[in-house]
Amino acid sequence: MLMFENKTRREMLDASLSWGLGLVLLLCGYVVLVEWQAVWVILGFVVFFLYLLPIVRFKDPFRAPPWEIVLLITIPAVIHVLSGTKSFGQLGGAWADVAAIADSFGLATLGFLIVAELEMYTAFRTNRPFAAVFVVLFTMAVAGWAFVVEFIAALLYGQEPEFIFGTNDKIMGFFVYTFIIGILMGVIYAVYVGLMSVQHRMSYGFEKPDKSDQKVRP
Amino acid sequence: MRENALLYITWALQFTILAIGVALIILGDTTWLAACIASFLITMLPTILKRSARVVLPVWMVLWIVVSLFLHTAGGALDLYDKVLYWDHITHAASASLIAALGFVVAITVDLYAKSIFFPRPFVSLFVLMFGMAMGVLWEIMEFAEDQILGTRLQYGPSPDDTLLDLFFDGVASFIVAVAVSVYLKRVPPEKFVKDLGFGEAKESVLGRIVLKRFEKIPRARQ
Repeated sequence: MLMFENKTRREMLDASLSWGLGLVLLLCGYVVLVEWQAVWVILGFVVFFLYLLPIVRFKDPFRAPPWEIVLLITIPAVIHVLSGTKSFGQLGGAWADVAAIADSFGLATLGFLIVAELEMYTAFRTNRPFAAVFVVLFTMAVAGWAFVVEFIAALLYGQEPEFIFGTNDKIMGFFVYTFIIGILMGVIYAVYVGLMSVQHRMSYGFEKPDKSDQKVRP
Repeated sequence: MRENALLYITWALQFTILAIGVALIILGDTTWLAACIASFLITMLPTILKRSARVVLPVWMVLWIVVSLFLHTAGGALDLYDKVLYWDHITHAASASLIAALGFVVAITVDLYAKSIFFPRPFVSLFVLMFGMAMGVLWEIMEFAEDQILGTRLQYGPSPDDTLLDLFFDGVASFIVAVAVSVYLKRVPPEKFVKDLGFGEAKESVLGRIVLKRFEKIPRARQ
Protein backbone atom coordinates (compact mmCIF):
# COMPACT_ATOMS: atom_id res chain seq x y z
CA MET A 1 0.00 0.00 0.00
CA LEU A 2 1.47 3.26 -1.10
CA MET A 3 -0.05 5.46 1.55
CA PHE A 4 1.57 3.56 4.45
CA GLU A 5 5.06 3.67 3.02
CA ASN A 6 6.16 7.18 3.89
CA LYS A 7 4.73 7.16 7.40
CA THR A 8 6.92 7.16 10.48
CA ARG A 9 6.49 4.60 13.26
CA ARG A 10 5.01 7.29 15.50
CA GLU A 11 2.43 8.33 12.89
CA MET A 12 1.41 4.71 12.29
CA LEU A 13 1.00 4.13 16.05
CA ASP A 14 -1.03 7.33 16.55
CA ALA A 15 -3.30 6.54 13.62
CA SER A 16 -3.84 2.88 14.60
CA LEU A 17 -4.76 3.86 18.15
CA SER A 18 -7.26 6.39 16.77
CA TRP A 19 -8.84 3.80 14.45
CA GLY A 20 -8.99 1.21 17.25
CA LEU A 21 -10.73 3.64 19.59
CA GLY A 22 -13.03 4.64 16.72
CA LEU A 23 -14.09 0.98 16.48
CA VAL A 24 -14.79 0.92 20.23
CA LEU A 25 -16.93 4.02 19.72
CA LEU A 26 -18.79 2.30 16.87
CA LEU A 27 -19.40 -0.74 19.09
CA CYS A 28 -20.84 1.47 21.87
CA GLY A 29 -23.03 3.11 19.24
CA TYR A 30 -24.25 -0.32 18.16
CA VAL A 31 -25.18 -1.25 21.73
CA VAL A 32 -27.22 1.92 22.36
CA LEU A 33 -28.84 1.51 18.94
CA VAL A 34 -29.94 -2.05 19.69
CA GLU A 35 -31.25 -1.01 23.11
CA TRP A 36 -32.78 2.08 21.43
CA GLN A 37 -31.72 4.76 23.89
CA ALA A 38 -32.69 7.59 21.55
CA VAL A 39 -30.62 10.38 23.14
CA TRP A 40 -27.46 8.30 23.16
CA VAL A 41 -28.09 7.13 19.61
CA ILE A 42 -28.21 10.77 18.43
CA LEU A 43 -25.15 11.66 20.52
CA GLY A 44 -23.29 8.63 19.16
CA PHE A 45 -24.31 9.47 15.62
CA VAL A 46 -23.06 13.06 15.94
CA VAL A 47 -19.77 11.98 17.53
CA PHE A 48 -19.15 9.29 14.92
CA PHE A 49 -20.04 11.74 12.16
CA LEU A 50 -17.46 14.18 13.57
CA TYR A 51 -14.94 11.32 13.74
CA LEU A 52 -15.44 10.35 10.09
CA LEU A 53 -15.81 13.89 8.73
CA PRO A 54 -12.09 14.76 8.40
CA ILE A 55 -11.28 11.30 6.98
CA VAL A 56 -13.92 11.67 4.28
CA ARG A 57 -13.24 15.35 3.71
CA PHE A 58 -9.50 14.88 3.10
CA LYS A 59 -9.84 11.32 1.72
CA ASP A 60 -7.02 10.35 4.08
CA PRO A 61 -7.46 7.93 7.01
CA PHE A 62 -4.41 9.49 8.66
CA ARG A 63 -6.37 12.71 9.20
CA ALA A 64 -8.56 10.97 11.81
CA PRO A 65 -8.86 12.89 15.11
CA PRO A 66 -5.88 12.26 17.46
CA TRP A 67 -6.26 9.16 19.61
CA GLU A 68 -5.96 11.17 22.84
CA ILE A 69 -9.15 13.02 21.95
CA VAL A 70 -10.95 9.87 20.77
CA LEU A 71 -9.96 8.19 24.05
CA LEU A 72 -11.52 11.07 25.98
CA ILE A 73 -14.76 10.56 24.05
CA THR A 74 -14.69 6.79 24.39
CA ILE A 75 -14.42 6.78 28.20
CA PRO A 76 -17.94 8.13 28.98
CA ALA A 77 -19.43 6.02 26.16
CA VAL A 78 -17.89 2.83 27.56
CA ILE A 79 -18.93 3.73 31.11
CA HIS A 80 -22.49 4.33 29.93
CA VAL A 81 -22.66 1.05 28.01
CA LEU A 82 -21.12 -0.92 30.91
CA SER A 83 -23.58 0.56 33.42
CA GLY A 84 -26.35 -0.99 31.35
CA THR A 85 -24.89 -4.48 31.63
CA LYS A 86 -25.94 -6.99 34.27
CA SER A 87 -22.66 -7.31 36.14
CA PHE A 88 -21.86 -3.57 36.28
CA GLY A 89 -25.46 -2.40 36.62
CA GLN A 90 -25.84 -4.11 39.98
CA LEU A 91 -22.76 -2.51 41.52
CA GLY A 92 -24.50 0.66 42.74
CA GLY A 93 -22.76 2.93 45.24
CA ALA A 94 -19.82 4.89 43.84
CA TRP A 95 -20.26 3.25 40.43
CA ALA A 96 -23.77 4.71 40.10
CA ASP A 97 -22.32 8.19 40.71
CA VAL A 98 -19.65 7.61 38.09
CA ALA A 99 -22.30 6.44 35.60
CA ALA A 100 -24.41 9.54 36.32
CA ILE A 101 -21.46 11.86 35.77
CA ALA A 102 -20.65 10.00 32.53
CA ASP A 103 -23.82 11.45 31.00
CA SER A 104 -22.62 15.04 31.53
CA PHE A 105 -19.12 13.97 30.58
CA GLY A 106 -20.41 12.60 27.25
CA LEU A 107 -21.90 15.94 26.23
CA ALA A 108 -18.82 17.83 27.43
CA THR A 109 -16.55 15.75 25.19
CA LEU A 110 -18.68 16.80 22.24
CA GLY A 111 -17.91 20.49 22.93
CA PHE A 112 -14.24 19.54 23.20
CA LEU A 113 -14.34 17.64 19.90
CA ILE A 114 -16.04 20.51 18.01
CA VAL A 115 -13.43 23.07 19.12
CA ALA A 116 -10.56 20.64 18.39
CA GLU A 117 -11.86 19.86 14.90
CA LEU A 118 -12.40 23.55 14.15
CA GLU A 119 -8.79 24.23 15.09
CA MET A 120 -7.37 21.23 13.29
CA TYR A 121 -9.32 21.13 10.05
CA THR A 122 -10.58 24.64 9.29
CA ALA A 123 -9.09 28.10 8.84
CA PHE A 124 -10.27 28.93 12.38
CA ARG A 125 -7.38 30.03 14.56
CA THR A 126 -7.31 31.00 18.20
CA ASN A 127 -4.98 31.28 21.16
CA ARG A 128 -5.10 28.92 24.12
CA PRO A 129 -7.06 31.00 26.67
CA PHE A 130 -9.77 31.61 24.07
CA ALA A 131 -9.78 27.93 23.06
CA ALA A 132 -10.43 26.97 26.69
CA VAL A 133 -13.29 29.48 26.90
CA PHE A 134 -14.75 28.11 23.66
CA VAL A 135 -14.69 24.57 25.06
CA VAL A 136 -16.67 25.69 28.13
CA LEU A 137 -19.12 27.72 26.00
CA PHE A 138 -19.66 24.94 23.47
CA THR A 139 -20.15 22.36 26.21
CA MET A 140 -22.90 24.44 27.82
CA ALA A 141 -24.44 25.16 24.42
CA VAL A 142 -24.42 21.49 23.36
CA ALA A 143 -26.15 20.58 26.64
CA GLY A 144 -28.75 23.31 26.10
CA TRP A 145 -29.43 22.36 22.47
CA ALA A 146 -29.64 18.65 23.40
CA PHE A 147 -32.42 19.46 25.87
CA VAL A 148 -34.24 21.69 23.37
CA VAL A 149 -34.20 18.91 20.76
CA GLU A 150 -35.42 16.37 23.33
CA PHE A 151 -38.12 18.79 24.45
CA ILE A 152 -39.38 19.35 20.91
CA ALA A 153 -39.32 15.59 20.29
CA ALA A 154 -41.33 15.00 23.48
CA LEU A 155 -43.93 17.57 22.41
CA LEU A 156 -44.16 16.10 18.90
CA TYR A 157 -44.81 12.64 20.33
CA GLY A 158 -47.38 14.14 22.69
CA GLN A 159 -45.56 13.12 25.84
CA GLU A 160 -45.46 15.03 29.10
CA PRO A 161 -42.02 16.67 29.51
CA GLU A 162 -42.05 15.74 33.18
CA PHE A 163 -42.38 12.08 32.23
CA ILE A 164 -39.27 12.27 30.02
CA PHE A 165 -37.05 14.61 32.00
CA GLY A 166 -38.10 14.07 35.61
CA THR A 167 -38.19 17.03 37.97
CA ASN A 168 -36.65 20.44 37.36
CA ASP A 169 -34.01 19.70 40.00
CA LYS A 170 -32.83 16.74 37.97
CA ILE A 171 -32.31 18.85 34.83
CA MET A 172 -30.60 21.63 36.74
CA GLY A 173 -28.36 19.13 38.53
CA PHE A 174 -27.33 17.89 35.11
CA PHE A 175 -26.55 21.42 33.94
CA VAL A 176 -24.50 22.18 37.05
CA TYR A 177 -22.50 18.97 36.53
CA THR A 178 -22.04 19.87 32.86
CA PHE A 179 -20.81 23.35 33.79
CA ILE A 180 -18.21 21.97 36.20
CA ILE A 181 -17.09 19.27 33.77
CA GLY A 182 -17.06 21.86 30.94
CA ILE A 183 -14.59 24.02 32.89
CA LEU A 184 -12.51 20.92 33.56
CA MET A 185 -12.57 20.11 29.83
CA GLY A 186 -11.45 23.65 28.97
CA VAL A 187 -8.45 23.25 31.27
CA ILE A 188 -7.70 19.78 29.84
CA TYR A 189 -7.83 21.24 26.32
CA ALA A 190 -5.39 24.05 27.10
CA VAL A 191 -3.01 21.66 28.88
CA TYR A 192 -3.31 19.03 26.12
CA VAL A 193 -2.43 21.47 23.33
CA GLY A 194 0.22 23.12 25.50
CA LEU A 195 2.04 19.86 26.25
CA MET A 196 2.28 18.84 22.58
CA SER A 197 5.55 19.43 20.80
CA VAL A 198 5.50 22.17 18.15
CA GLN A 199 6.14 19.55 15.46
CA HIS A 200 3.21 17.44 16.65
CA ARG A 201 0.99 20.50 16.87
CA MET A 202 1.87 21.40 13.30
CA SER A 203 1.15 17.91 11.96
CA TYR A 204 -2.25 17.83 13.73
CA GLY A 205 -3.01 21.35 12.55
CA PHE A 206 -3.31 22.98 15.99
CA GLU A 207 -0.74 25.42 14.71
CA LYS A 208 -0.76 26.71 11.18
CA PRO A 209 1.78 28.39 8.98
CA ASP A 210 1.38 32.16 8.87
CA LYS A 211 -1.49 33.22 6.67
CA SER A 212 -1.76 36.88 7.51
CA ASP A 213 -3.00 37.61 3.99
CA GLN A 214 -6.28 35.97 5.06
CA LYS A 215 -6.95 38.88 7.33
CA VAL A 216 -7.58 42.44 6.32
CA ARG A 217 -6.59 44.83 9.07
CA PRO A 218 -7.84 48.37 9.42
CA MET B 1 -34.30 61.53 11.74
CA ARG B 2 -34.89 57.80 12.06
CA GLU B 3 -31.88 57.45 14.34
CA ASN B 4 -33.18 60.32 16.46
CA ALA B 5 -36.53 58.59 16.87
CA LEU B 6 -34.79 55.44 18.12
CA LEU B 7 -32.79 57.59 20.51
CA TYR B 8 -35.91 59.21 21.97
CA ILE B 9 -37.56 55.82 22.50
CA THR B 10 -34.39 54.68 24.26
CA TRP B 11 -34.45 57.70 26.59
CA ALA B 12 -38.16 57.25 27.31
CA LEU B 13 -37.65 53.61 28.30
CA GLN B 14 -34.61 54.50 30.43
CA PHE B 15 -36.67 57.16 32.19
CA THR B 16 -39.48 54.65 32.77
CA ILE B 17 -37.07 52.19 34.37
CA LEU B 18 -35.88 55.00 36.67
CA ALA B 19 -39.49 56.01 37.42
CA ILE B 20 -40.35 52.41 38.35
CA GLY B 21 -37.36 52.46 40.71
CA VAL B 22 -38.53 55.67 42.39
CA ALA B 23 -42.07 54.31 42.66
CA LEU B 24 -40.74 51.14 44.30
CA ILE B 25 -38.84 53.23 46.87
CA ILE B 26 -41.95 55.29 47.65
CA LEU B 27 -44.08 52.17 47.98
CA GLY B 28 -41.40 50.52 50.13
CA ASP B 29 -41.36 47.43 47.93
CA THR B 30 -37.75 46.26 47.81
CA THR B 31 -38.04 42.87 46.07
CA TRP B 32 -37.34 44.27 42.60
CA LEU B 33 -35.49 47.45 43.61
CA ALA B 34 -32.02 45.94 43.20
CA ALA B 35 -32.88 44.58 39.75
CA CYS B 36 -34.28 47.96 38.79
CA ILE B 37 -31.19 49.90 39.85
CA ALA B 38 -28.91 47.35 38.20
CA SER B 39 -30.91 47.56 34.97
CA PHE B 40 -30.73 51.34 34.93
CA LEU B 41 -26.97 51.27 35.48
CA ILE B 42 -26.56 48.76 32.64
CA THR B 43 -28.57 50.98 30.30
CA MET B 44 -26.09 53.75 31.14
CA LEU B 45 -23.17 51.57 30.03
CA PRO B 46 -23.30 52.52 26.31
CA THR B 47 -23.11 56.19 27.31
CA ILE B 48 -20.19 55.53 29.63
CA LEU B 49 -18.44 53.49 26.91
CA LYS B 50 -18.90 56.36 24.49
CA ARG B 51 -17.48 58.92 26.91
CA SER B 52 -14.53 57.07 28.38
CA ALA B 53 -13.59 54.49 25.76
CA ARG B 54 -14.96 56.27 22.69
CA VAL B 55 -16.75 53.12 21.56
CA VAL B 56 -20.05 53.96 19.88
CA LEU B 57 -22.58 51.13 19.85
CA PRO B 58 -25.15 51.35 17.02
CA VAL B 59 -28.37 53.09 18.11
CA TRP B 60 -30.51 50.03 17.39
CA MET B 61 -28.28 47.94 19.65
CA VAL B 62 -28.59 50.41 22.53
CA LEU B 63 -32.37 50.34 22.06
CA TRP B 64 -32.27 46.54 22.08
CA ILE B 65 -30.37 46.59 25.40
CA VAL B 66 -32.83 49.04 26.96
CA VAL B 67 -35.93 47.18 25.68
CA SER B 68 -34.87 43.82 27.09
CA LEU B 69 -33.98 45.33 30.46
CA PHE B 70 -37.25 47.29 30.45
CA LEU B 71 -39.24 44.10 29.82
CA HIS B 72 -37.41 42.49 32.73
CA THR B 73 -37.86 45.26 35.31
CA ALA B 74 -41.37 46.22 34.30
CA GLY B 75 -42.31 42.54 34.32
CA GLY B 76 -40.94 42.11 37.81
CA ALA B 77 -42.24 45.33 39.37
CA LEU B 78 -45.73 45.14 37.84
CA ASP B 79 -46.10 41.38 38.39
CA LEU B 80 -46.35 40.81 34.64
CA TYR B 81 -44.17 37.70 35.00
CA ASP B 82 -47.05 36.03 36.83
CA LYS B 83 -49.98 37.78 35.18
CA VAL B 84 -49.13 37.71 31.50
CA LEU B 85 -48.88 34.30 29.88
CA TYR B 86 -45.45 33.70 28.33
CA TRP B 87 -44.01 37.03 29.66
CA ASP B 88 -41.13 35.09 31.15
CA HIS B 89 -40.37 33.50 27.80
CA ILE B 90 -40.73 36.72 25.81
CA THR B 91 -38.17 38.42 28.05
CA HIS B 92 -35.96 35.37 27.70
CA ALA B 93 -36.13 35.57 23.92
CA ALA B 94 -35.43 39.33 24.00
CA SER B 95 -32.42 39.04 26.28
CA ALA B 96 -31.09 35.89 24.58
CA SER B 97 -31.16 37.59 21.18
CA LEU B 98 -29.40 40.60 22.71
CA ILE B 99 -26.72 38.41 24.28
CA ALA B 100 -26.26 36.59 20.97
CA ALA B 101 -25.88 39.94 19.17
CA LEU B 102 -23.35 41.13 21.74
CA GLY B 103 -21.53 37.83 21.20
CA PHE B 104 -21.38 38.73 17.51
CA VAL B 105 -19.89 42.16 18.25
CA VAL B 106 -17.28 40.65 20.57
CA ALA B 107 -16.42 37.88 18.08
CA ILE B 108 -15.78 40.10 15.06
CA THR B 109 -13.95 42.71 17.13
CA VAL B 110 -11.62 40.14 18.66
CA ASP B 111 -11.15 38.60 15.21
CA LEU B 112 -10.10 41.93 13.77
CA TYR B 113 -7.83 43.15 16.55
CA ALA B 114 -6.22 40.08 18.14
CA LYS B 115 -3.28 38.91 16.09
CA SER B 116 -3.39 35.23 17.05
CA ILE B 117 -7.08 34.85 16.23
CA PHE B 118 -8.91 34.23 12.97
CA PHE B 119 -12.63 33.42 12.80
CA PRO B 120 -13.95 32.32 9.40
CA ARG B 121 -17.38 33.80 8.68
CA PRO B 122 -19.36 30.57 9.13
CA PHE B 123 -17.72 30.24 12.53
CA VAL B 124 -19.05 33.66 13.58
CA SER B 125 -22.60 32.42 12.95
CA LEU B 126 -21.91 29.14 14.75
CA PHE B 127 -20.44 31.11 17.64
CA VAL B 128 -23.55 33.31 17.88
CA LEU B 129 -25.77 30.20 17.88
CA MET B 130 -23.73 28.55 20.63
CA PHE B 131 -23.05 31.69 22.69
CA GLY B 132 -26.75 32.57 22.99
CA MET B 133 -27.63 29.08 24.14
CA ALA B 134 -24.66 28.76 26.52
CA MET B 135 -25.60 32.03 28.22
CA GLY B 136 -29.21 30.81 28.42
CA VAL B 137 -28.07 27.68 30.27
CA LEU B 138 -25.89 29.75 32.60
CA TRP B 139 -28.90 32.00 33.28
CA GLU B 140 -30.98 28.94 34.22
CA ILE B 141 -28.21 27.80 36.57
CA MET B 142 -28.29 31.26 38.15
CA GLU B 143 -32.08 31.11 38.55
CA PHE B 144 -31.75 27.63 40.05
CA ALA B 145 -29.10 28.83 42.50
CA GLU B 146 -31.31 31.76 43.50
CA ASP B 147 -34.25 29.41 44.06
CA GLN B 148 -32.13 27.10 46.19
CA ILE B 149 -30.36 29.77 48.25
CA LEU B 150 -32.95 32.55 48.58
CA GLY B 151 -36.02 30.31 48.37
CA THR B 152 -37.54 32.22 45.43
CA ARG B 153 -39.62 30.45 42.76
CA LEU B 154 -38.04 31.77 39.54
CA GLN B 155 -38.33 28.34 37.94
CA TYR B 156 -41.85 27.64 39.23
CA GLY B 157 -41.20 24.56 41.31
CA PRO B 158 -40.76 20.88 40.54
CA SER B 159 -42.07 20.80 36.96
CA PRO B 160 -39.31 21.13 34.33
CA ASP B 161 -41.61 22.95 31.86
CA ASP B 162 -40.43 26.47 32.70
CA THR B 163 -36.74 25.68 32.28
CA LEU B 164 -37.36 23.80 29.03
CA LEU B 165 -39.54 26.54 27.53
CA ASP B 166 -36.96 29.17 28.53
CA LEU B 167 -34.25 27.19 26.76
CA PHE B 168 -36.50 26.68 23.76
CA PHE B 169 -37.02 30.44 23.38
CA ASP B 170 -33.30 31.09 23.97
CA GLY B 171 -32.64 28.64 21.15
CA VAL B 172 -35.13 30.23 18.75
CA ALA B 173 -33.73 33.72 19.47
CA SER B 174 -30.10 32.63 19.01
CA PHE B 175 -31.02 30.83 15.80
CA ILE B 176 -32.70 33.92 14.34
CA VAL B 177 -29.74 36.14 15.27
CA ALA B 178 -27.28 33.57 13.83
CA VAL B 179 -29.16 33.55 10.51
CA ALA B 180 -29.35 37.37 10.54
CA VAL B 181 -25.62 37.55 11.23
CA SER B 182 -24.74 35.26 8.32
CA VAL B 183 -26.92 37.30 5.95
CA TYR B 184 -25.52 40.56 7.34
CA LEU B 185 -21.90 39.46 6.98
CA LYS B 186 -22.47 38.66 3.32
CA ARG B 187 -23.51 42.26 2.66
CA VAL B 188 -21.40 44.31 5.05
CA PRO B 189 -17.72 43.51 5.55
CA PRO B 190 -17.00 43.08 9.28
CA GLU B 191 -14.26 45.68 8.95
CA LYS B 192 -16.87 48.33 8.26
CA PHE B 193 -19.06 47.30 11.20
CA VAL B 194 -16.12 47.40 13.60
CA LYS B 195 -14.95 50.71 12.17
CA ASP B 196 -18.41 52.19 12.79
CA LEU B 197 -18.15 51.07 16.38
CA GLY B 198 -15.22 53.46 16.64
CA PHE B 199 -12.71 50.90 17.90
CA GLY B 200 -10.04 52.60 15.81
CA GLU B 201 -10.33 55.65 18.04
CA ALA B 202 -10.94 53.47 21.07
CA LYS B 203 -7.46 52.02 20.64
CA GLU B 204 -6.07 55.43 21.55
CA SER B 205 -8.12 55.76 24.73
CA VAL B 206 -6.80 54.65 28.12
CA LEU B 207 -9.08 51.61 28.36
CA GLY B 208 -8.25 50.59 24.81
CA ARG B 209 -4.52 50.72 25.49
CA ILE B 210 -4.89 48.46 28.54
CA VAL B 211 -6.92 45.88 26.58
CA LEU B 212 -4.56 45.92 23.59
CA LYS B 213 -1.52 45.51 25.83
CA ARG B 214 -3.08 42.36 27.24
CA PHE B 215 -3.50 40.93 23.74
CA GLU B 216 -0.02 41.78 22.59
CA LYS B 217 1.47 39.88 25.52
CA ILE B 218 0.07 36.61 24.20
CA PRO B 219 2.82 35.15 22.02
CA ARG B 220 1.86 34.48 18.46
CA ALA B 221 1.32 30.74 18.01
CA ARG B 222 3.22 30.53 14.76
CA GLN B 223 6.60 30.29 13.05
